Amino acid sequence: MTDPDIAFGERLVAFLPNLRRFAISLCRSRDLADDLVQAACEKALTGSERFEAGTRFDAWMFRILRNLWIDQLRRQKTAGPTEEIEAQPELAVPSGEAGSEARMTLKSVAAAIDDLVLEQREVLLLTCVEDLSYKEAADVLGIPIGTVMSRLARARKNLAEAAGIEPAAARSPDMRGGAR
Amino acid sequence: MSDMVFTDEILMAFADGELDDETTRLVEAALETDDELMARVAMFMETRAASSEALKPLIDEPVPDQLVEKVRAMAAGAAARRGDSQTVAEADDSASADNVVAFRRPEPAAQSPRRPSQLMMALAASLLIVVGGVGGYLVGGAGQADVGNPQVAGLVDPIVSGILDQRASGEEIAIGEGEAKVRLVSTFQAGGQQICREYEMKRPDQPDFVSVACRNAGGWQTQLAIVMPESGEGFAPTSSVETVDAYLTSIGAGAPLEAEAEKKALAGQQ
Repeated sequence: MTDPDIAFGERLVAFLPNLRRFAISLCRSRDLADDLVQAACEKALTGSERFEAGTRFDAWMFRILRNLWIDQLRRQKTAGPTEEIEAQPELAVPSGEAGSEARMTLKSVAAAIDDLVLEQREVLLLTCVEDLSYKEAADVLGIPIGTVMSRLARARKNLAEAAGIEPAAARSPDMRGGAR
Repeated sequence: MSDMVFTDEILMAFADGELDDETTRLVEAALETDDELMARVAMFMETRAASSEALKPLIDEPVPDQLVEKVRAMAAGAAARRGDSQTVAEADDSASADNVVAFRRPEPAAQSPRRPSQLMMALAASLLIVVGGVGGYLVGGAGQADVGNPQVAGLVDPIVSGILDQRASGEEIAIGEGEAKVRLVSTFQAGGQQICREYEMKRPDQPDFVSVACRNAGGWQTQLAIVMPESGEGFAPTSSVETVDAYLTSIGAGAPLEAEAEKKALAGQQ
């Protein structure tokens, strides 16, 4: 007989790359992210019976991790001004090898995502990167769908502007930036 | 060219495939003749693709072995603990089916919302909860918390309200002759727009409490107050803090506002 906790643990292990990606992009620090991932796994394991079969495991884990992060931000707040946390992002993507032009563009998109305020960043990560629906993202974040949509729309406009993402095929007379 | 006006949200939902059929048809029809509309939709499509692409490298990054081992070890630990508790539960079952109160429900009910139950667990773990009523603690004079009349219950007293309206999180403010102290923890938005604050109150000869208050048209309203056990010098001990966290999660509290945003939010409506 397979132990349910061991099976649950393996499921978590399989999901670690996603969870870690979400954590890194959320708190913009690998060290913080790994601590956060570990804490989230611990919480998930102690509350594994609260996971409802048939619902999305990833959404459940994202919610646990995200709530831990928000709690942590809130606690840090008591220690005085903590703008540094937001103001000193680590690059989300390792700069690694010198890249092609495509890589440069992508890197700037990652940096632009990092620059989004947390509210917009988290909603973008959940929907556009982790492929959750608006409804699922709303559940993870505990906000109405309408709020998810307005934040997400703003996030993407900001991103497009910051990273110079131009609609490839369209004429866009009032948009700035060179023709491509 | 179309005379329909589409909001960004509609066009985004269209790009994401989340729009209802009827509106989808309207957008499609409009797109046939409207290049500008197409550009707006394309922006949403491209930002999605670009975000996903940009963060792909992170998922290929090897997870530190240490982390994997930790998770496996925790799972094994949980398995061991569960093994124990199951034995106990089974023993209980066989011992007396009718006078043992179920400690943990075996299966979550079909639609049991997870948040409230998490909150309830945290509440159960904390010491004492007072919802409303604490606002009156200064009204009737020190030590007369019960005097606060029903209309006042829930409303934060004027002095503390003033502090909540004006002072920044992280500050600690003495009230009166310094016998009571308010420490502002954070400011955040709950649900949609409502401004809420968490603060801690230290009082002489009375239990300290940690509280969450939200501002509405009538002023600051106490949402939750937890009396804290004697903790010597410090403020809120962990169990109270966890309860507050669980509560805040349940009301959909956002991240704490940064200093600037907090100032704006507090000045916003009054």
